[in-house]
Amino acid sequence: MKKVEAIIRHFKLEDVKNALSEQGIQGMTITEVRGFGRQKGHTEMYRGTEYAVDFVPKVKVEVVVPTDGVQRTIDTIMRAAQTGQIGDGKIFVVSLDETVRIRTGETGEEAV
Amino acid sequence: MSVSTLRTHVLAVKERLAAGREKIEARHRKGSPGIQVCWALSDLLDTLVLELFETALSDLGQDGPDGLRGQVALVPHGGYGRRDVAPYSDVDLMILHTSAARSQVVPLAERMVRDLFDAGMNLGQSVRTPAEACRLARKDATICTSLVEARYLAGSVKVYRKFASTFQKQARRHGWSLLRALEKARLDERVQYGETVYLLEPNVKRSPGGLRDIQLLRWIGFVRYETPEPDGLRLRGVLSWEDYEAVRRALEFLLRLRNEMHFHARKSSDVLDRVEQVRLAELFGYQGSEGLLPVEQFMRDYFRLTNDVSNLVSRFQKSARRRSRLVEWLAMIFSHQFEQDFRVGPTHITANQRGLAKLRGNLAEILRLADYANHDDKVIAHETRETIRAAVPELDDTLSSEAQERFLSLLSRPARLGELLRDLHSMGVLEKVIPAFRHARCLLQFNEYHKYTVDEHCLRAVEQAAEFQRDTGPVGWVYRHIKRKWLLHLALLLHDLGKGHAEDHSEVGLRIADDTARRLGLVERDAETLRFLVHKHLLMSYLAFRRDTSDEALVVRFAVEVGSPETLQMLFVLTAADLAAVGPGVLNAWKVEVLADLHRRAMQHLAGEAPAISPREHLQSLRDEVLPLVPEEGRSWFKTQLAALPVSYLRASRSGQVAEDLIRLRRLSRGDAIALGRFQPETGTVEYKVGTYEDITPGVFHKLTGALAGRGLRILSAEIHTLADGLVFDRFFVHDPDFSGEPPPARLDEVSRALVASLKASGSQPPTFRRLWRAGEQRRQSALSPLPMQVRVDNATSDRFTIIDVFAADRTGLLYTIARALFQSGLSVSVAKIGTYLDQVVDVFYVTDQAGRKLEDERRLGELRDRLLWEIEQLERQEAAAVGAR
Repeated sequence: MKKVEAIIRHFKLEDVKNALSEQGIQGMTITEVRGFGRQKGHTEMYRGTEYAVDFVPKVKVEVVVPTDGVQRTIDTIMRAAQTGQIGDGKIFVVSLDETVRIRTGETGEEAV
Repeated sequence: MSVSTLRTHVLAVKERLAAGREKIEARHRKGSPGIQVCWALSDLLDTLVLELFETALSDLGQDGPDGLRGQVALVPHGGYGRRDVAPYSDVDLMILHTSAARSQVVPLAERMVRDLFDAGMNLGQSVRTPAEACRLARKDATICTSLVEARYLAGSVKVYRKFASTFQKQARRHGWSLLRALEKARLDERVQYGETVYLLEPNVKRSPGGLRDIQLLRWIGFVRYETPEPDGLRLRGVLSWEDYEAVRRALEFLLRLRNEMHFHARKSSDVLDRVEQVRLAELFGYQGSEGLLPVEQFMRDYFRLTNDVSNLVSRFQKSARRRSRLVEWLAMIFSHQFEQDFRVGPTHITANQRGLAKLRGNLAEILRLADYANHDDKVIAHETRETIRAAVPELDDTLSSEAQERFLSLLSRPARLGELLRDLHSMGVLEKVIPAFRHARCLLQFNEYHKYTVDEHCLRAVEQAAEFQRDTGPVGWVYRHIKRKWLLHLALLLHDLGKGHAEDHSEVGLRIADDTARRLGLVERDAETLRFLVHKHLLMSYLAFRRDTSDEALVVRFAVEVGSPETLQMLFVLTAADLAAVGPGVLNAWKVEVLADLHRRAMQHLAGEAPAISPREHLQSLRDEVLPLVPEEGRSWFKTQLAALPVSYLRASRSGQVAEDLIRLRRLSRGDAIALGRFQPETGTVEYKVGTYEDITPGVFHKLTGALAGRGLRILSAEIHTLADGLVFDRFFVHDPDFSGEPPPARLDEVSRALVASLKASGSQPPTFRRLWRAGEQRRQSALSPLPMQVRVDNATSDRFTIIDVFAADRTGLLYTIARALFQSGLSVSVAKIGTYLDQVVDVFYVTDQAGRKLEDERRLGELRDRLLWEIEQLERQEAAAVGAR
């Protein structure tokens, strides 16, 4: 079991969500995040004050999938989230030790 | 006595409790009223508690005439004392004893607690002497309120009486502090369980308007009028027949609801969550109607009843609260008569006899009072509100022009606006002004997103906007700069009122906005803005959160659709307030950032860098960099001109370039002009800078544009700036279609000479534009363009200028045509920003009349708009004719 974490452009969320749903992924967690990578921040003049936008707003999508489904999930997210411009985001894959469904106490892939 | 016999006995009680509950549940299912079910449950508990009490006494050998029976009393209190106990509620029982029996009572209490618990009751027990009970009640409001409901069940009547009379005396003696403690305890609970009635997942006991509020009424009644019973309060004349009926209705509804929830869950469960709402709506036979789900209908009933309770209890609270003499005396001293109708105190505004007479049945007067209250930041006094409420049925739906004016004036100030609108809504006045509020009252939005009902959401949205007054972020900044806040507040008040119909709520909202604009007598321009804001209230959040806003074409389309800087500012704040009013935490810094980004980018198209709204400190540092680079001689001249230089130019140019340009301008004498062209390899465009004095000829700007267009150049962007002492400094960014890449120096010179000549030539010869084969192509393109031609006027964004936004499809000579029309209309252009994006042109002009004033006259503005549209159409027609002639 792996957790796939994708940091994507916020307006691509709808596309990514739909694409993942089509792949049969039933649950995901969404967080509104800020960050920077190579895109860096930029300085904006905002009427009256100049302020540095150090962090760019992004959305983090987290899904848990069986190990053999990881590649397909990555491909799906990439297809849906790509614009080809700097700032498209990143995907991280994390190994999971355990998953528990709180309501029933089921564990492992049953609980995903 | 063996352990096993004891267990058997308790088990029997346990079985009887379960069987009894089942029987009562069957009665409930057959439709028994809630209160009867509660009484039956209390009776059942009484019987079982008594039985366990008797067994315990006999088992402990205390059942004789000298036994504990004479020293102890069983006292149910709380909900059990009140006998409105729900199927799985706590059973609050106090074992009251004389202090002499303190040591003997311990084994009895231990035994009772264990047995009652084992029998399956959720026991809330206490063991106290009458004096202890009273002392605790003094210290703790929760204990006090629970003991208000105490009744005698078994044991010594004498002991119970001792407690009851002391408690009553104490309540009378410390009435006021007790009242305050009660109110505070309830307030804390309300804060914890949601401050509004209109929570979408309310707690039927603890949320505002729930059972606890009815209990609060009882407690206040007990402390203040010596009876907790609503019936008794009605007979004493402190509760009106109407209010009494409302309490009775709500109590019956809530008890039945709560019984059902407990029976269904088989445990204590007071939260009306979404799943439960759907189930109950079906169970209670709600059918639904067009645009309204059964669950929405059911919850609307729920909210209406609890809202009634919440309102009447808060009124009851206020009338029970007698103010101290000192406070009343101070209020008299520090208050003043106002317009002979009102008395304005330190915190309240009160209508006097004459004012009250006027308020009855007179909408304009009520709105006048609300307007004053908002203006002076005062609360409308309780009695005054009661008078208004009572007279609401006499109000008719027509709005006099005074009522219109008062309402708009009320909307213009954020001070207490949210609270006053809520007051007007709860008194039933708001729907006389905006009839659509009637439909939205208590209307639930059954989705995972909204936390409040439609009316509450709209009121909250206005409140949120008013709170932006103190916001330090970009939303606050923009809100404070909106001049006509009333229009924004009105749009917020209306924005979701179209919900609860089968049709899309934005479309219904558009009609409501139209209707409201007419009712309030708005001029067409304001009506148009209002319609747009209500109709498109989702546009900005849709684009910001769902679309790629780094796509310039999208931002331009958005800017064009919005049309004016003022409308954009309003839409930005409206979007933020709308989100914030959905529920706590919905509008976070992340969302503000994404919205502010779109606002900023769209604003660049609609307003450019307006002189009235430029960043000061940053500019100063840019100017400071230039100063050392210019000669000592004429420092003051340089300083003055530097201060007048436009933001966009300062920001875009290196300091060396700025110094060079200034030095060149300094050499210029009056009646002369200079022009200079420079190729910009990064963009493949040529920048022409022109310096002159404005008195060289009338209509400098349009003549320059004519000269450029006459040389076949496409103007991509232009900036015109009037500096100090009438010095004009214009910059044009053009594309030269005759050369690919850098045009030769001779061409730059030729164009520069033409620019200077156009200013020096006497008379105004219109330039002739070259007709190229491309013109036909352009025409076909523009015919395909879906963007309509528009001219928008904005008088609110800048203090000194009228801003005119022109949106049109691009064609040769367009800018010249517009500039000439402005000139011929007697307008002076101070700043212009011309932007071409694909085939769409967004032109912004900051204009004044010849006397340097804004154009405020509606008729003149209308003529100007018509003229510009007509001229652009003419240009299009000429072009078509030229193409056709070939």
